[in-house]
Amino acid sequence: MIRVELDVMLARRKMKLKDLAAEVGISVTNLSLLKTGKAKGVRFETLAAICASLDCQPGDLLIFEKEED
Amino acid sequence: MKRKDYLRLSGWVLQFMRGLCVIALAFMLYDGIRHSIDPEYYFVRWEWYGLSGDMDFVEEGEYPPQTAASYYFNWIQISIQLVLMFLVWTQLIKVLNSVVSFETFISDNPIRFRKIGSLILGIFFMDLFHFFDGMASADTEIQVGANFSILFFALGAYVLAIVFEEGKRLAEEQKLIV
Repeated sequence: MIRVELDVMLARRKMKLKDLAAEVGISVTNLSLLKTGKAKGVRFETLAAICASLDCQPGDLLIFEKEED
Repeated sequence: MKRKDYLRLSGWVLQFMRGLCVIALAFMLYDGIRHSIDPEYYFVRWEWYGLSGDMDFVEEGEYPPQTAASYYFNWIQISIQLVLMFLVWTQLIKVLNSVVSFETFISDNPIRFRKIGSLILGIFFMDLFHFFDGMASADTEIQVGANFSILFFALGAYVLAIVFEEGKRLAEEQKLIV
């Protein structure tokens, strides 16, 4: 499964979700969905905007974890 | 014509059809009351005076007088079919309203189409059996036959229910893509 580490990156950058939403240009609700892992997918456009805003790579935000049976 | 105009026109057509059902139901109610008060009404009207009200004998096969059992059987059958048709139009109006308000795949359209399918199936079953018992013994007719064109409409409604269900699922998934 893919785990979203947005909260970790936000903490590192000392940034609030509200400010990131304003910078990226998407709603706080959608960003919150992404942060809590409820989102089913991320558009490349959104990912690029988040990476640009947080000055990081997609790999810093998305981590693959092997699921145990 | 723009999309909105087509939808508005369709809305009027659906409202008109539903209105026709109401008028037909009102006529059925009037006719039923009239028949229960005066069962001879048909006999007099059709046999001696004819449709135009002139002194005329009705031709063979054209609305011959029927027994009370036959009349009430047909009355109940037609009334139920009209009620079902009214409900079908009502559901279709709701579907159209959801399309107008850009909520085609958000609202309960799959459930509505399933309801429409079931209602049309009801009309199909109500249409399976025809019974007419005339005053003269030679007029008695019992027919059993399926009208498959009605069944195809029901099938169409069920297929649309599945299509809309898939659309709703995709719309909900789309909502979760950031």
